[in-house]
Amino acid sequence: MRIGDGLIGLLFCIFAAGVLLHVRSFPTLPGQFYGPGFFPAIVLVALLLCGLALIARSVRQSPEGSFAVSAPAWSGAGRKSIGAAMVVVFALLFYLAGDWIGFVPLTFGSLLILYLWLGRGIVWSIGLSISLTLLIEGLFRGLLRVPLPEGLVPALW
Amino acid sequence: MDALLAAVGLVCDPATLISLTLACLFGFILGALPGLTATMAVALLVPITFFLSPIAAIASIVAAAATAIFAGDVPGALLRMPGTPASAAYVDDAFALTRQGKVGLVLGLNALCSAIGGVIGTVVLVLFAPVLANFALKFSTFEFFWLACLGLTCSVFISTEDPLKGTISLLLGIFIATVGMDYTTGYPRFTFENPNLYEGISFIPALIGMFALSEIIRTMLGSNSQTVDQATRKRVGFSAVLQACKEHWRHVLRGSALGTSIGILPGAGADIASWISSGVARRFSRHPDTWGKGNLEGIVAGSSANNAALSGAWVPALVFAIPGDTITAIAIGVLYLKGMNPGPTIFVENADLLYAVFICFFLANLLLLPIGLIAIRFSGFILSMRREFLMPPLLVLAAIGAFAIDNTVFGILVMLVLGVLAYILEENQFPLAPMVLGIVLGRLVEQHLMQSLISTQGSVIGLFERPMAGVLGAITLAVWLFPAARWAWRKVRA
Repeated sequence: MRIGDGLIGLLFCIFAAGVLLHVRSFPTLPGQFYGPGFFPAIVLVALLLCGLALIARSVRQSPEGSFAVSAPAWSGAGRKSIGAAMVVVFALLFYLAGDWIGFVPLTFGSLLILYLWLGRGIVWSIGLSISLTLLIEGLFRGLLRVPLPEGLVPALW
Repeated sequence: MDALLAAVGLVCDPATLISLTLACLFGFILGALPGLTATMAVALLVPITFFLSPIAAIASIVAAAATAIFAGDVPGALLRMPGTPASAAYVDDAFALTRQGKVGLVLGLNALCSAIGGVIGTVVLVLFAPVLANFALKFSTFEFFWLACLGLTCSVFISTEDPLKGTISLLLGIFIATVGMDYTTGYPRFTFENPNLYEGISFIPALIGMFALSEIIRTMLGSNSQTVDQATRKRVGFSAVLQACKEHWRHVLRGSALGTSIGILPGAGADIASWISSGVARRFSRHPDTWGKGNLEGIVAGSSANNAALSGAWVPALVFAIPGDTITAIAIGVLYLKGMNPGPTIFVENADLLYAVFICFFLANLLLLPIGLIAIRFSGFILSMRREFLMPPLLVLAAIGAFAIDNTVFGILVMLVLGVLAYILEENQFPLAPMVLGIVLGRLVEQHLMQSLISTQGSVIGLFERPMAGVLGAITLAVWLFPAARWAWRKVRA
């Protein structure tokens, strides 16, 4: 998704200004000008100035497109955009349900569905998903002792 | 001479050599997996070192760390997913070369320059450890603040032809690093009362999200999905790698020297060394317009600096028991466990053990060459697969890697949010590398700045009063002001 530089600069300016207003509510050290808001304020002021510079440069170089939003190249390719959306959904699922479903079912499920979506056969997809799940579980839980959430399925290793 | 001969005997023990070799392979596997770091590899080896002799234990740690730092280059080159922040300094050039079929050249150079940098760093360690440690201990918060600023500035110059977007990316990364409890007062900033954010945003899930997840999304959308077919892949012999290294010998030596110098400074580490080295290489490059499109200079400079910094970090660790980085912090604990108390007396009381450790350093760095060969062979298998078929297991590895750092699913949320943000930013030509470094070093910059201001009672002039701080500060300000000065000069002349 291509966003015009002027619009991006404007968004950064609004973000920086908004957070700067919030940072003003942070306390300072007694008798000093600095406190928890000092360093973030420096960063946000610099971000605000850079945002303004980006707007100015964009307007100077290409006034027509500086605040435009153009559709991405993949917007007509529904299948591919769904595949990418599935990646985001599965990552979200690991976060939301990783603790109570468990990493083994989520790993197997996400591998299987993604491989089927990519056009692999059912037998190939199931076999590879099982193998990879066992390998990943063995590597992280068995060898590296990472306490992956068990959830619905007890630890395989 | 007796101590040296005794040391050779200790190293030639089969248990030591086997431990060293297995640790190299272990470090390679962990370093190549996104989310698993050299520090993690070393930490996981500690329980095993209980059962090893002192030399085998230290040899294992040194070998695992050296290989893991190099191994971070492998996924960066093959998949544009750097295994460590240090590898992110030159990931764009490495990946571009892989797309041109030169994966053998890239990985070969990574291995050779890492080995050379590590060996040079070890030579400096052996010859000058006490002298350099004294110099390093003179660095205070003032000097570290300017050094960190210089490192961040270099990342902007490395990253792109567009310094303005690079600067914005850097500032975003530094802002992300301010999330969490304030260093001086403990005041929670931008935490939304979420306990997971009190410690700030961990940089490993951020790194995984920004490089791995964004690349997975991009591949699933159809970009970067082609394989590099056999016809395109150019078989590269070791002589070609050697020739490339000879052509860039200045960058190798400069990177090694910079890496060692920065590694000696406690707390600096391989990450900042790699970025500064790559930044300097770009500054002196005769072809700056080719950076990001397959320029070898950044790869050579960064790879040399990586492993040189690892060796340099042992200088303060051995001489003063002050860790140069997180790896040596763990190693110091192992040294005490094994009765090799670090400090000035180690050079007298345990001379034979110390010489044996130095020999292990050389062996570990030289072993990078055959391991690099394994990586090149392995790369053929990875590159021959359709890229999108690699994405499902990489997604799972990314999620688990993000979880494994703090053992909380919150890391996966960090990975997801920053991954989507990184994808959008890259689609609009914002470089990611400065943002990564901003997240990694932002806390360090603030910590040193605040400590310095507290010690000077708020006087900003105090940041320049110490001689070395003044020099570093002047260099940093000159670098910051140079683009504006050049622009103004051109306006005046026009």
